Amino acid sequence: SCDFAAFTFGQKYMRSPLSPEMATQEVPLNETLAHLKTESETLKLKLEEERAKLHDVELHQVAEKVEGLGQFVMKTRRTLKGHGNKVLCMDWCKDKRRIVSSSQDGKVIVWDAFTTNKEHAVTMPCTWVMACAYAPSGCAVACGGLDNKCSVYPLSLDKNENLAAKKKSVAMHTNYLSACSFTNSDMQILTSSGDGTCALWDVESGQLLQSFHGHAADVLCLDLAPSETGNTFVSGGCDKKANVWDMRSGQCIQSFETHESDINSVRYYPSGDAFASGSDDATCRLYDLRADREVAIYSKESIIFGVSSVDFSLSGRLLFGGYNDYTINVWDVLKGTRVSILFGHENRVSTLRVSPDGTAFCTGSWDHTLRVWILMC
Amino acid sequence: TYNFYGKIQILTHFSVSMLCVWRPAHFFMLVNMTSNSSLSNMRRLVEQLKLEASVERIKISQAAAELQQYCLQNASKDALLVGVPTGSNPFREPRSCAVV
Repeated sequence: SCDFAAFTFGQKYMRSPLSPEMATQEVPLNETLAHLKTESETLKLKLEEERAKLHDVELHQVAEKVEGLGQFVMKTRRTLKGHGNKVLCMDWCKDKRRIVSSSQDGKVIVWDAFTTNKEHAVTMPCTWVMACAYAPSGCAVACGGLDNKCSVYPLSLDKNENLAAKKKSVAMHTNYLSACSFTNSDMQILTSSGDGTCALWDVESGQLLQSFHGHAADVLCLDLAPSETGNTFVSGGCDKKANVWDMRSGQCIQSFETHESDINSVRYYPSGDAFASGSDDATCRLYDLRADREVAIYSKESIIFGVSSVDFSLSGRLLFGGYNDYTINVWDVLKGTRVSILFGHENRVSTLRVSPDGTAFCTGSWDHTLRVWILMC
Repeated sequence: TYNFYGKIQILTHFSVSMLCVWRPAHFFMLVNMTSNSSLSNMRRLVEQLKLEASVERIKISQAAAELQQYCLQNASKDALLVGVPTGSNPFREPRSCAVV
């Protein structure tokens, strides 16, 4: 049986069925608890020792012989205007031209980024639509936010059709939806939530297939491993932790806690052997999964505002970070240096994704717009 | 701080309601639990730490070399790194000249 605890705003109470027999077990229980605590402290130390043993060199030292990157000029080639409030999230379609975006006013828009035309628009029944994702087939989008749900909207070829009529509610959390992503097909969706959990859902039935517990606070972001590397995903949260999960067992297989504040964004390195994170502590970090530790920090004294979103270029050499000071910083992943700073948005950058074939990247901002950027050469 | 503003805005939008916690794993988030639940929490934490400690690891020198190798092998295809031949980047053309 499980204990049941309920919180009310400003007050918490507990109900725990203590039987008379349990009262006499108080002393042994406390001893076992203390013993377990010591064991956990010892294990944590051992974990750090094992990781430190393999710390024989820094990434940027290994990369010293690699040719440095020259001048980078990246410019906005498309500006998508149409949202009436802060853009919170965006995702690319696999066709490399369509984009779905969501905003604070509840609007979800599908764009053709080549022409900047809006192809579909739907108004959600809630505000702060913090998560949206394109289905792999390109035939549907998923979104959610303060409604605590993730809903799937099939995209109709008929522009006049009311998208909201075909809406399907898939995920139900007990707090806001922070991120969502389809897995390899349109059939399953992975979600993360302010309720501290991630979950895998079957789209057709809405059934919960697997839940992932381990974060001690809101989970803010997630990213699926590239399909070649198997069934894992990484999540980041307000507990400053980035956790790597086995999707089949629900087990947390690796955990990293080096950030000093909330982790707002996580993204796998294209080979699947590492992932980057962006945090309110104004740094981006790179964690290698086989070395099981942080291997690089991307930061500067002059950068003091939080990172909202990160993504890699196709080869993994560049890491793009969208920041709360309205800029985008471009980092040389191997050498750890910044190669470019991009201006353009008039408010914080809230979301950033590189296109599926790596020809461009798109940013969304609290200035209500999205921008598509390319390298000018 | 400025960073906080965004999060606090989100928090004030939450409808204040009962938050019910069912599953034992959620107790990780609760404080000052006594009796059996805190014991099972600790047991779960110790098991999790044992699992994480048993992960096989490689040296950073090897991991870094492989990350670097992947970058260099794929650099030529990376349009944001080296650019692509003029004409093959559909976004290069300004919108008014886009061929539909």
